[in-house]
Amino acid sequence: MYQYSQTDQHLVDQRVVQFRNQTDRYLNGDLSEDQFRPLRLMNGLYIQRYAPMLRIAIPYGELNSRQLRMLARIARQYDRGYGHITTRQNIQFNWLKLEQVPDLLADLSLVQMHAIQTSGNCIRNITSDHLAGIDAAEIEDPRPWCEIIRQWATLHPEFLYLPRKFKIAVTGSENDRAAILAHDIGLRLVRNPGQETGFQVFVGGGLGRTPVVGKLLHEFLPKHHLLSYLEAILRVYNLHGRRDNKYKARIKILVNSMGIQAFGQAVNDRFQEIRDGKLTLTDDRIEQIKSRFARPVMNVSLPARIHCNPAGAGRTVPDRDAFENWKAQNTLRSKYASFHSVFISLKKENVAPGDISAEEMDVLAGLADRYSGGLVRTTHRQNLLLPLVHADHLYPLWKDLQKSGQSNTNIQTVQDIICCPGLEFCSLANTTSIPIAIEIQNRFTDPLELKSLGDIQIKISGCMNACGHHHIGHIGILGVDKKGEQWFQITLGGRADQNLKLGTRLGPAVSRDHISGCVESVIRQYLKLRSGPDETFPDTFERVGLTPFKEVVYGQ
Amino acid sequence: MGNSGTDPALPDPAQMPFTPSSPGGPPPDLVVVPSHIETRSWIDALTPDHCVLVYTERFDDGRVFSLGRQIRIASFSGRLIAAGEFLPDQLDSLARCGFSHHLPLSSLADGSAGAVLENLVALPRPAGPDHPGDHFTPENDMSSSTP
Ligand code: SF4
Repeated sequence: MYQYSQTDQHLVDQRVVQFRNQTDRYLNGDLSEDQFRPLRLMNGLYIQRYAPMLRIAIPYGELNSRQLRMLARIARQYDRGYGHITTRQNIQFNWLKLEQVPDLLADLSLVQMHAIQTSGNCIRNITSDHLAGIDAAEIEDPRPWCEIIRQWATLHPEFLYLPRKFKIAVTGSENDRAAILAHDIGLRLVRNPGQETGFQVFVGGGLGRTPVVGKLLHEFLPKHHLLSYLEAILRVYNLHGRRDNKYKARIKILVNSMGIQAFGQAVNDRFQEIRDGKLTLTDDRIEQIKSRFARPVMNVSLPARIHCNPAGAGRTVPDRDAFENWKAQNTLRSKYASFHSVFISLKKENVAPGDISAEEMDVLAGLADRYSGGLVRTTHRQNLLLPLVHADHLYPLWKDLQKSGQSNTNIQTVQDIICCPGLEFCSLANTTSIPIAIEIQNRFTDPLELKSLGDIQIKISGCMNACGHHHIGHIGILGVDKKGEQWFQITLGGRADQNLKLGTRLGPAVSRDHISGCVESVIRQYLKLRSGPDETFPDTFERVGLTPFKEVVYGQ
Repeated sequence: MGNSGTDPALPDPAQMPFTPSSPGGPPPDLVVVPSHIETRSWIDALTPDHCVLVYTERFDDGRVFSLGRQIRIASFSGRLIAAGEFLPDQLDSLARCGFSHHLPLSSLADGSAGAVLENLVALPRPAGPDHPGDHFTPENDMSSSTP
């Protein structure tokens, strides 16, 4: 995991001082609401339906146990005892007091964390593949590249007041788990025929009210030019992106209005002005960043009191079956022999997807120390991951997770729903989303059925802003307001992988009372229609189309 | 040479936020650029004798910052002024983007273009660590100079 340099720490400390000053000026009436808004947003602070909400950056989803313990402390001391993992791998606290936020940020800075640029019209937290650096199929670990971009983007003096928010994602794998095509800039590490590493650059992807799949802008960008090229893209966008209408201000609108050719030409013109300048990444610089990622600590010996029992001697049959089931569903082999990545589900009965209590954070921090070199990751599906656990330790880990109630075996199942905060917290919401997710989860509770249904990705947004990514859900649900009543539009066949696709609208919106039943009908219809257990929901949808699903929902 | 209508390569003076015809008139080498300017060919027409003033009506208009950069990248070495009601928190970024001076638009209340040079505030060189995107030139490092 990346370790801060003195410069990194200085910058974060300075930002705390600056935000304390800005907050004081606002509370004293020296800054108007209009003036304070971009300053607080740039520091992750929203004014939500009931209270200020702070989004804390977890760069490319990587945390250590010390940081997780600090988040637990913050949840207790400043919030209501829990936090919420977001779809962009960050964590949010929903019940803060504005005047306490500077103190909270000062506490965060003690563990190399901050809320810089987690919101506002600037370059947001860089996201990546939650399996970065541990996926055997990866071309190169994308995390050092995320860090290089993070350092460039953080408090970039030119790009703090962009036309709109700006999101960048990086993957090093052909299996895209970072939804790079749904980002303003998506970067994929690739190799050219000469075996040099570089980037495929995609631009203008995004969800929201105008969903667009990112377009290829550069087939192979040599890695030394990464920052110069990103700077050229941002400069074109900052100068020419629309500022008269916030719904038309994202880069996707500029790319569409200019056309990808003309946009690419404009970027190239700006790039030529600065290529080979001081943003050029030297091999030394790249190596320097890579060297700041501490090597993963592989826990191979556990304290004697932990009984590994890898052979399973003495286990009961139900115990063994439950463990094997959990192992099959919630773990993956990593690229390191004998080490597995373990998913911890944050989809628990009657709890908002992605919510985690302070107690759970503390327990997980302890388990990370014991089993995973002190490392934890957040995932786009609002779960957590212990990246490297020795195969012999999976059983004791599972037993520990059982004790703390964190062994839910529903990773990549229909219960593993992504959902935005909706009406429960968000001041922009049309409808509720969390209760819908819980209702759907409660319709599919039989473990055998969950397993047989496979990975059906349900994504729910409480309004057109699409924070729940409903456009790219296998089943997407969008909350709409009809004369003060909550209704829901269903889309089918979206996907968030390397073949990213936007879902197709099923038909008229359905009412609050019927939405979870309709989703169940769609899923049961899929079960009947699929050609076999290996045919995924989007593949079945691709083959059979809308009609059979319309029939079960609208009776046509 | 100013952009008071004499040089077609430079931006249209009608866009100025203050009255060019007011007593005194704009200083002869002042080039006034609105932040929303779409073209960039005028940048190549600049000489070190020009004094460039980029103005905006909104403090959160990020184009100003990129225009500053663009002008410096084109090797303009003269005085570069950001005119607008910027917050104190933003002056650091303006300096890092190549601006040498800030001009609060409110100081032009009398509509006098001649007042421009009298009301300039030199931007101090930022204290914190350098940013990879910083653009300092000797000309915009005006921490010890007066307008
Ligand atoms: S999708 Fe809408 S309701 Fe949900 S969090 Fe985003 S803005 Fe709020």
